[in-house]
Amino acid sequence: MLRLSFSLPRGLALPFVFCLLLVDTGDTRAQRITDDLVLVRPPGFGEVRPGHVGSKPISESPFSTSEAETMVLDKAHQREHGWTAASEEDVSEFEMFFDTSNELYSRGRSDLSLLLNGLRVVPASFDGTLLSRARLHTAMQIGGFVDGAWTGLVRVMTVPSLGRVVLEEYDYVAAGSHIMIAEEIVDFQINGKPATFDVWRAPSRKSFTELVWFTENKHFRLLVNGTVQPASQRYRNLIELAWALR
Amino acid sequence: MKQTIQCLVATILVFSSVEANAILAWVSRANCGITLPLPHPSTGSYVNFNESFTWDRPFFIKRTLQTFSHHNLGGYANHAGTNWAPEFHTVNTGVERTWRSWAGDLFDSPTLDWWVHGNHWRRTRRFWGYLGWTFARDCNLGQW
Repeated sequence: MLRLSFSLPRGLALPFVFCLLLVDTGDTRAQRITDDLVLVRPPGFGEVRPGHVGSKPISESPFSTSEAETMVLDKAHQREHGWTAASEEDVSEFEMFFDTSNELYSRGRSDLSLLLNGLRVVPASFDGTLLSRARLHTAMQIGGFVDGAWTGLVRVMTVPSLGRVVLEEYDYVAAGSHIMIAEEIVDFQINGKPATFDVWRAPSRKSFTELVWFTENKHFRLLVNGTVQPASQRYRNLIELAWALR
Repeated sequence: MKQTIQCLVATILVFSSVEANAILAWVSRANCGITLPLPHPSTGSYVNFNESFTWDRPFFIKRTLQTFSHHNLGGYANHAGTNWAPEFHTVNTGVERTWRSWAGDLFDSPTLDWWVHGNHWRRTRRFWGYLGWTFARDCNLGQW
């Protein structure tokens, strides 16, 4: 390869050698992504369109009748009362993100630049958003390990006016994901794709708020400490943030 | 003789978690050779494993997952079967409630060049779908 680089014009040498390196791996992305790749589906999961997000009636989901009924009742309660019942254990999971003794801190980094080389997802910029003044506690690569890098990122932050915040983002196109949501629990559309808004509240009234939405290539999950009431200023801030992040 | 360990776990469809904090990772690894401190009675002390898994690494909380791991020689495993070598096989966890859905073989032949790709699936209380596929021809032990 070195000999070839000398025989090429200076400007072409590096790209040419780089192409040769790719070929040498015998392992290019184009070669890998094929509709013909073996894909075995669990019962009820339907056809897969990699890099797709959509919604279907819950009757076409893999959920059992009782699961579906629970899901619809929970969503009805959310819409009527502004929260959904959850266990203390469920809600305390939010606090695990801020527990510095877990792996998010031993394996994660508080300097995002240290993670970039291992990421396939391009982290959303916070410029011009509520998160621009966030203090990052830790960030960690998550998602699928594809082409030597990760398709997801989670950031754990404290944000003025929002408090404790967790933002997950997955590049579902890079991962080849196919995500389906039950139509009955879709609350609204963001970027022309289904979005959900939920407040999970334990009997002790401890709670957190969850907003899930999608862009053309990303799956976002934003978790905020406490209860955000629909129609409140905090709620409007979160929706505005969702529209702004890419 | 190749011994295949398959996790065929009964379907567990209990949804007790809001799964709001499910940050997951999914990965495949191939041709991972390790020497055991104590030899296995039938296979000796060397283990060569191929695997795909889906897991909640930071919190180790149970999720509803299913993982398939396809192990093939000489190319990608495809539906047409044109790349299937005689050694082609798939390991399937079944739907399971676990923090680590593991589909793998511990004793695939260490003298062969395995191509491993995984299919990773997940359900939450709200979503269902295909997390994606992974692929490996090496072990990536440094990742874990």
